[in-house]
Amino acid sequence: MNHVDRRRLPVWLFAIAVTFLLAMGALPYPAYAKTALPARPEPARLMTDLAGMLGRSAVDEIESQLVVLWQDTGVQFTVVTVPDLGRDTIDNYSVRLFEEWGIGEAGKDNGLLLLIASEEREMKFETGYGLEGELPDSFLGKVIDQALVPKFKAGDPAAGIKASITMVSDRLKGRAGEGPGSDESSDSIGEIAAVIVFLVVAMVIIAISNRRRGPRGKGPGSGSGGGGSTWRTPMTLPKSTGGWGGHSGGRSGGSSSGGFGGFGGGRSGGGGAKGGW
Amino acid sequence: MKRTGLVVLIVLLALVVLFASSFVRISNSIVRAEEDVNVQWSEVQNQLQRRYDLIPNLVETVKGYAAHEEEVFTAIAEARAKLGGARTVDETAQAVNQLEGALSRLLVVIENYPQLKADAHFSELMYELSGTENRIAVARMRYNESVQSYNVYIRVFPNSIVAGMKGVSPKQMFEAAEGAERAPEVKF
Repeated sequence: MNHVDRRRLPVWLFAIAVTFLLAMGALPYPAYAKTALPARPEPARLMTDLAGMLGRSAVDEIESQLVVLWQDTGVQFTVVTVPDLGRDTIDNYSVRLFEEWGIGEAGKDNGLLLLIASEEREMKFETGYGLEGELPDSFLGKVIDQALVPKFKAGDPAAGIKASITMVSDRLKGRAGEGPGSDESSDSIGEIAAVIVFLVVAMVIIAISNRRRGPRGKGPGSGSGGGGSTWRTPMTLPKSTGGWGGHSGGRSGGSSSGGFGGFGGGRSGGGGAKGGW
Repeated sequence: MKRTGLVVLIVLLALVVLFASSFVRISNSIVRAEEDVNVQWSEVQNQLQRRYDLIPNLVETVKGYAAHEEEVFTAIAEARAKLGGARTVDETAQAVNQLEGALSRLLVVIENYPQLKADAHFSELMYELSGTENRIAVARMRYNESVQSYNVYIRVFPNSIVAGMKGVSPKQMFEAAEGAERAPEVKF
């Protein structure tokens, strides 16, 4: 009896401990529930007219204007109209929408959101962190005052949006153009170094294994074949600015000039300007 | 008997390893959560600094049109100095609330000067101030969210045991003043 108990005790202890530890590991990090936001458009688009304020042809025209700006500068200028804001303020709503959709490329944060709330008759520019220097709040305020509000008051919101894109694009073209996805920032230096180290190590290993294999009379072809696949591996490494922008490899959408590739997980911090009409 | 002793030893060893590894994991999570709070706090400070730097410019512009509104200018200068000397989250929150009160009064004063409102430079400054107020609100919200996550994380069982052993304590939220949950409304 005593013998049996002593043997079972550790088993019980072990089982209890495992259960306890599993419970510990299962504790999730608390997440925050937030009120619903419109889903990201699929396929990705830069102009989304959820409020139905603009005609179909106007939406397409604005979309192609935004795609051109994106191709020229890499900036993801996104225009969204919503019927209403629910019980949220436009400041809050635009920050959340920006984050939820991930406008701009991760790391670069080169997104710009123009949110228009139809019922509240309010509009807000929300600037990605990476554009705050080039598009200061005062400039975006001027765009609202000069391009958007007058046309919205006159009942032609499409013209206002087009004029605002022209103003933003003129301002951005003051800098050297860089197309979407060109990423030679300092972030990639570490990655390049890692690839080089990897290649050197791979070559050393191949050299050693070849020398060992040599006397045994295996053909050199097999050695170099193995090397080839080792060489290819680093080339297929994903880019560091991935995010979920996996389809940024140029999805050709319905529009003639090839559509927008997709948002990349950019972030904003509440900068921008707002106005009403 | 010999085998039983060995089993007990192995089980004890396994327990020690399991406890140690979960201790390390929780401890690392606490460090990460704490670092997140620090990052969010530095963003709050960044944006407060941005407003801090904007104010002298704004005050100068307003003075050009409303030189005799001494009282408001003094209140702003005082609150700004206090903010410059604030060290803790609480001190900062207090100074910020005082500054926001003074700024609101400045905005009321501005209403009486139509020429000032028509000034292009002033209008630019007001857009910058308005954007900055919103940035502060966002940074403050994100800071408070990270503090809340952190505080919950270190207080739930069994993380609380690890937290107790590490000697970490809950962090302070950035509380807005009564009736000042919203940033001063910049309208012009």
